[in-house]
Amino acid sequence: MISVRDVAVTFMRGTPNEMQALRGVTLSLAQEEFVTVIGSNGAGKSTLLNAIAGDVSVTAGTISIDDKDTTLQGAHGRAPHVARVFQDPMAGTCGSLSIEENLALAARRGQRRTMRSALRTSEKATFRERLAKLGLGLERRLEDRVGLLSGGQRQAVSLLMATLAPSRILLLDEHSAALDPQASATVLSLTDQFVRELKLTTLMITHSMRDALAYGNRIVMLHQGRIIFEASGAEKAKLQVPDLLERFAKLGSTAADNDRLLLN
Amino acid sequence: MDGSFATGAAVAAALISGGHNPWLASLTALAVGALCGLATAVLNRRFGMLHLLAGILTTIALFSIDLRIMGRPNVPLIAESTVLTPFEALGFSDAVTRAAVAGIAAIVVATLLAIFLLSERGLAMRATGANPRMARANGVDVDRNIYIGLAMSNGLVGLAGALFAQFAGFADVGVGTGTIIFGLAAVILGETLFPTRRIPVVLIACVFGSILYRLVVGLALNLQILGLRSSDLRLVTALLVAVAFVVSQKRGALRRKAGPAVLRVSSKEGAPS
Repeated sequence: MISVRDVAVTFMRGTPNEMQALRGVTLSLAQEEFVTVIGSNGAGKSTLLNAIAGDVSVTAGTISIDDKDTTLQGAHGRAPHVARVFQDPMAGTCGSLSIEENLALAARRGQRRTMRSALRTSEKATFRERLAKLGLGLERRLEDRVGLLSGGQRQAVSLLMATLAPSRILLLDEHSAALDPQASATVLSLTDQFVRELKLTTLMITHSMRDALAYGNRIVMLHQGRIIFEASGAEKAKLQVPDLLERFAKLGSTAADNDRLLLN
Repeated sequence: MDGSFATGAAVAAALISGGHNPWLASLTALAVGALCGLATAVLNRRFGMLHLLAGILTTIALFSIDLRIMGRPNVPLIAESTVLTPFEALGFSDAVTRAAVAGIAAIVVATLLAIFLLSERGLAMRATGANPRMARANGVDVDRNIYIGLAMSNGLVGLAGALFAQFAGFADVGVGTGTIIFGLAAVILGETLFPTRRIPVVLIACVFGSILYRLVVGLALNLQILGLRSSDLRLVTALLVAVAFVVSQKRGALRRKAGPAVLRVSSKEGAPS
């Protein structure tokens, strides 16, 4: 179980540019829960995710994984528990390494890295099998540089990498936003498939209200660094895009003016 | 780089002329080189100094340290016993002995490097260089890898300096100048000749690149027709690196493959620290 308690994050503290990205967020995710997070630009979605991953240090509050306080741990210290896929397909994979090298690197997340050969014949079969599940024909291109793949393919590989080693939570940071609609749909359905099959606890940030409603069993709406609305189970299932729009409209101009959010 | 090379030469020369075992002297040069690398890494990671500046600063400091180590700007090793001495006793000509010893050293180092780079730890280090954010997300301790990487590379440069001093028969505070350009030239030429990413081949490419570079420079300076003098060395070096870079870049564009990764300015994945 992941629990975020009263977490606040302030950037550039003590300067005129001080920015309160999170102002006391409390959120806990039970085992196998799939939570989607929506909110306008600057609502603190990415900051929340980066705080859980350990990329951003919190100003106040605690973050614990399985009742162990990880607030002070850095990103690589939390890596045994946290898997993530970034928004930018370039960020989650290493373009100058081959597909199999990327997968081998990710498969060893959370383990001690040894002087044993990084690429083992025994693992290649597993990699091929998992790549085949993506349905993109990548299982025949194990030795190709990831830099030769399209954005959608890279993101699918990122997603696969995040699921190779066990994790307590999978963090998805608008991971389909930078892709064309078709690739985006592919990556999202793969995500749903992986989360179900591997029973992953997942936190997915999205700009698309439709996706936020279509996936997961709980929805969280962030606004100006606070959680302003939550729904889960049957209540979430009943929600429609207009319901969410209405909630955003109530927040006043700051949220409703957000074109990107409305057009989605 | 320039600093660790001269320091390696200085340490080896000081120890050998002081009557110490040349093998021990060479290993000490490796260790001291590694310490120089760590100094750069500390400035960069611990204190957040730009990597290039950290490297330049270490290099400048090492110039003075070299003078302290040697006690004077130049130490001759002609009369001393070096790592070459036991091989010279075998009775082959000087040229053959030197080439053989240098070749053995290159093979040993390249083999060890290949084993390392192909291992899990080596893969983590390569990822650290290419995409630190992705490496961190996969549980790689990026800082530690940068410390180890800089220590390893500068240690090897220190060893190279030690061997150079013993081959040349002297150590001088100036021997390190241009090492970094020479290293880049070797890598770029190697990448141009063998456009591959397979680690063993990449290492072989570097070795051949460095031999080729020396040959071309030697040829250019010795060809009477070109009218070059030995003082033109640096100009020839710079032109060679520039030409090799442009050629590999053009070829990269034609094949939609990346050119030499070492020196491209705008990399989408963030520069290695």
